[in-house]
Amino acid sequence: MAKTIDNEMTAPNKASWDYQAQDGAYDEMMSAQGELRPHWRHIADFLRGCPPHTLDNLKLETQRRLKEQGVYYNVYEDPAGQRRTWQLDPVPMLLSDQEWPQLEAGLRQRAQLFSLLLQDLYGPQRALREGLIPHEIILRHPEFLRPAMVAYESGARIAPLVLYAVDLARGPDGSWWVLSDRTQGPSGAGYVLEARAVTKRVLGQSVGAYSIAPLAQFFHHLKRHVAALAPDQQREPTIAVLSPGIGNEVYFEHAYLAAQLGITLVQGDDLTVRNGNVYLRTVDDLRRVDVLIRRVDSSFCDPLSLRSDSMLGVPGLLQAQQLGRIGMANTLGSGVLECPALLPFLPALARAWLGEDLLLPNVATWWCGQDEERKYVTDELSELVIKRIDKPGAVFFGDRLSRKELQQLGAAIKAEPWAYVGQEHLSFSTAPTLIGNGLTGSEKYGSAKPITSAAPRPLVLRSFLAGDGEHYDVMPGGLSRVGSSATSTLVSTQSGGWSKDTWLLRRSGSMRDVLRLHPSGQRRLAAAVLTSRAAEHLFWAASYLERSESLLRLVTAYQQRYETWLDYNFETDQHVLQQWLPLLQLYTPSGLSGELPPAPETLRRALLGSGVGSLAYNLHRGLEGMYTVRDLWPADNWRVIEELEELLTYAERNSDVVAVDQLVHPLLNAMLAFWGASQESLALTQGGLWLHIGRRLERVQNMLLVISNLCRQLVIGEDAALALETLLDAHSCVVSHRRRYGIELNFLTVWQHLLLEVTNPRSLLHQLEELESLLHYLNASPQLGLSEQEKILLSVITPLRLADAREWAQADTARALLSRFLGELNGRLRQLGIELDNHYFRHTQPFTQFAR
Amino acid sequence: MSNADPRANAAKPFRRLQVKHETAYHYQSTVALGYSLAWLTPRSMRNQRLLEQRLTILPKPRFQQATRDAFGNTQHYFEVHKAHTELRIQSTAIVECERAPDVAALTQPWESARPKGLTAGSGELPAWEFIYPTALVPLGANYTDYARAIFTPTRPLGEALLAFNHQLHNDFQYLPGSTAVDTPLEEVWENRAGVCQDFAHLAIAALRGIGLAVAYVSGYLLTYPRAGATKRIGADASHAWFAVWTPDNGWIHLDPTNDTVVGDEHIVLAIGRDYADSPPVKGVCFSGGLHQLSVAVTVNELAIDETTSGAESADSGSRSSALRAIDRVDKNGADRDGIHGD
Repeated sequence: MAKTIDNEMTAPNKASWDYQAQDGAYDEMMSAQGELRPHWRHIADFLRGCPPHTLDNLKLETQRRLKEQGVYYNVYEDPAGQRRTWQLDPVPMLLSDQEWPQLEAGLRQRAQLFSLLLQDLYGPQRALREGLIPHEIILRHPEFLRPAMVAYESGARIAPLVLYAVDLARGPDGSWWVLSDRTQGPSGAGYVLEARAVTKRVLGQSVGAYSIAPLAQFFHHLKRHVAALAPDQQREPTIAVLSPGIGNEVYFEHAYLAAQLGITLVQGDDLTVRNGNVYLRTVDDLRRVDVLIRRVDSSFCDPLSLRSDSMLGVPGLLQAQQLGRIGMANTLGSGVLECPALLPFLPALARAWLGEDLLLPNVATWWCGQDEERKYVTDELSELVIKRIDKPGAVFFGDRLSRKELQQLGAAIKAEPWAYVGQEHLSFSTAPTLIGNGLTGSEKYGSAKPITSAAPRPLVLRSFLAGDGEHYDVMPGGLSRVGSSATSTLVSTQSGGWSKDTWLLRRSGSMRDVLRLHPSGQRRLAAAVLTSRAAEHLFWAASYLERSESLLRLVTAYQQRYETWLDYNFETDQHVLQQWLPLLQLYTPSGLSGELPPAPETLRRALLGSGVGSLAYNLHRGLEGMYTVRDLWPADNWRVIEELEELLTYAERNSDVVAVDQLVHPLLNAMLAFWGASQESLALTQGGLWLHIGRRLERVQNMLLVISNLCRQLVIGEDAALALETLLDAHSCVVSHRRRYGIELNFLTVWQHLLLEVTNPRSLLHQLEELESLLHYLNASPQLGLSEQEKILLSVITPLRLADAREWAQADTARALLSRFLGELNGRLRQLGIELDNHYFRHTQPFTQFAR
Repeated sequence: MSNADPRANAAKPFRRLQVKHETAYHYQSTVALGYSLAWLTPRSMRNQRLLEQRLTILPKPRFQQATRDAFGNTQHYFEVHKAHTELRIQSTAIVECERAPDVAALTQPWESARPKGLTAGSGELPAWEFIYPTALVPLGANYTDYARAIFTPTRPLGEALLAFNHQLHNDFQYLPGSTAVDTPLEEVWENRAGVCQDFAHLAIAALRGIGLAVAYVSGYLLTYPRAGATKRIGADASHAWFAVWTPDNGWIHLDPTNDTVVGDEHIVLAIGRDYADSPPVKGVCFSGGLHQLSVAVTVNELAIDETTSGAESADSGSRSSALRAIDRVDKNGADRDGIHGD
């Protein structure tokens, strides 16, 4: 491969800017002699020719877009709810189509070999019997799962390796070396789509002369290979991505991939095994699942047969796989292939099973379970990279260890030689990467001095494959990651590295990269299903958002009254403020004691505190729910969700200085925008229904709670009129009330307007009627009459329709009557909430292991 | 041979044993859904023949399947969908067991029983599964030294095994309830007390430490060896012991709890690397809260001619179809890596 590249070198075309390849390392763009590799010309021209600040802007714009799209790497990891936006370098990695065929052939061969090995290890184990692989490596590996073995006389087939990824690095001579293999649940393919979209958009026409191999075809093949695992090929398969959930570092990708492939995102407790089949809990019923794209490590997938302490799995899932009732990409137990101790044995395996030499060399690896190899490793400890074979994270760089640490490591190897490999410390190739502290947050567009420049950074390429054991499709390109410093030897997203889109360049033919994965006219495989979990999350997210909104409106009304009080010091204002306190305490019980009435600063602290019921609390719960169903949101919604989160984060960070109205209005605007976007672009069948039900139900309950509570405090008089006006204000009804009744404002007009007037869209009765039509939509068999939920709702609506507001307006005792009446209605609505929950949401109780 | 007195069988090279094993879980609250795995079918192997087995589960499982596990045991999977507060698993089986081998006659040096090399040829693989530590059976210098004191260089294999079994029996006290399933081996070692399962694990740790391949065996023990004799230790519940792989004589089973060589008074249920590979029953249930487990086992001897002898009775009508399916596998795959015997 090195030869090909060298031949490609063009005549004197010295780069005139200060980009310089590092001594001894292969640079992707420039040779050691400072000559530009031809396929990099357009990028080099761009980097060289762009005006100052362009690179700054480019880098900022890339991150802005990723943030806007919600492309995260770490999610909700630390308690403050911080998420890290995925870091993408806008300068792509380029692969020339001269070196590609050879790389591709090597990758295919490797995938075939691993697939054969997988089927062998869980079946006849010829590789062990014939000594091609020392059995100790497999038999002591924690991901070799004996319950997944198939007795070979039973005739059952072990599924091939369907999804596969390889991490590659280019050595000093320009040839590619395999660093490691990903067979458990290879991640990153979803990020590639996002990287491609963002990179192409921010670079725009500046490097438009390239013809880039499109990605869409690969994902089409991927889905095809996954679908081929379905036990019943006669009907359209239901495919789902099994994710550990929102706590996982790459949850974004799970959601993104599910959305892009048009399949369902599920977690362990969305699934249930019945009669050996796997089912998905949807709001309507149980739906058979045919294939799972597994992103949960095998040993956590079934608490019955595998790790009993796992809460991520599905009891019986392994059995379903063994009985051939569900296809798994990849099959349970596939993680054992990631063991680095396999590397030195692959060349012999390839010769024995494929009759071929291994095309892609491994990074030189010595397994310490062999005497000579162990001696070599322990002698050269300080020169090597040492890995524990049973713990993926345990990596030691010999050159960074102190003498004492080296001794300890040597002793550890001698104690458990089988558990260690030594690997050559490969120097990776470098690729131009934008560096400079452009993203610390303080810099703005157009700061005085350009701070970003291109510099070489070590690079690792992850290639993705999908196949059926015999034929594999290779993603043209891949995902490159670059180290955070020029000498960085640990290139991973975990350790603060950046990713790069990777372009496979085609010589000719303009190829439009269609990222749409469902070309029209083609049979659409496996439409996504709305899981019970998704419905539940939408319902609760909407509830929390609505509760936040209701609280914000109460606060706004309070704030205005407070300002009047400060200005004029009227006693009536103070009374109203005091009446308002119990209402606020309904939401957030803690943090509002102290002076009376509480000053806005106290209020702010209570709103932004972490106590149950605070604004921050409600919004965080709501956002978390929205993030969990990340795959469902149309782009418009997602942008608003992002904005909400940003506003909240800002307010929390600056909780000492931010003024209440500085907080309230932007948040209210964002919420309105969210509901607008939901109305416009989230179909009722795709989850919109549950969002709206959650919102309406929460809203009417809040209204009932607030009004019935206030009722008990009011007496006829001047205070009451002011309190009523504030109440109208808190429900955005001041203007509509005035238009309807003029300056008249008393118990009768307010109760009529706020509770009973159907023409007022904010009225209780109007809200309930909205809810009524949503519940009617939900009723799966309206021909059989009202559903239980509809009946309960009717028992709330009917007394209101029959009610006469005059009865609540006369004597002081009438308020007590109204309060009780509203409280009763609220009780029925609570019952409605419980009914909905019982009937439609998943009812997974925690499971327990049998005693022994 | 119509003598119903079991003692008349003494002349026979094997005994016919009948086991009744009932496992019951009593739940505090209702279980909506339960999933279980059970290793309750005695193995068929060279010196043990399974004549019949009946597995009754109450409430009746909606789905039930029997398969072979990685160690060649019959593994039952079942799902109970019906709401229940009690799960009963009743197993009855009739097995013919051959007499204990003459272990003392194994005079070759014990070292010959170590599986050779790291990458040996075909056929030895099954033994290799049993040479490494597991989660329940860690290796340690204390265990290894314990074995080494008895397995002195070139000591005859049989003699060493019997001495080891005897030593373990004497050094450790059988104390029911002194340990739980998750009691670390280290604690058993320090307290010098435990139950049959702990003794098996101790023996495994000690003998794997000196390079032997040792398996964990779950099974049953004849309750009263002779009329009027006292009840055997470990006969009330499922029992456990260990088996050592030998190159020429297959697996030698030893019961340290009773200081005996396993023979025609023991029934082998399942074999694994440790307890966790093939427990009699394990399961997961949704809700149910706290629950109690009760186990009752009785093993009786039957006269040889009480039923038709040998495998012919395997197709007798009362057996579940799942089991018949397994039988077919048994016959076809009888020679597969036989862990016991070859």
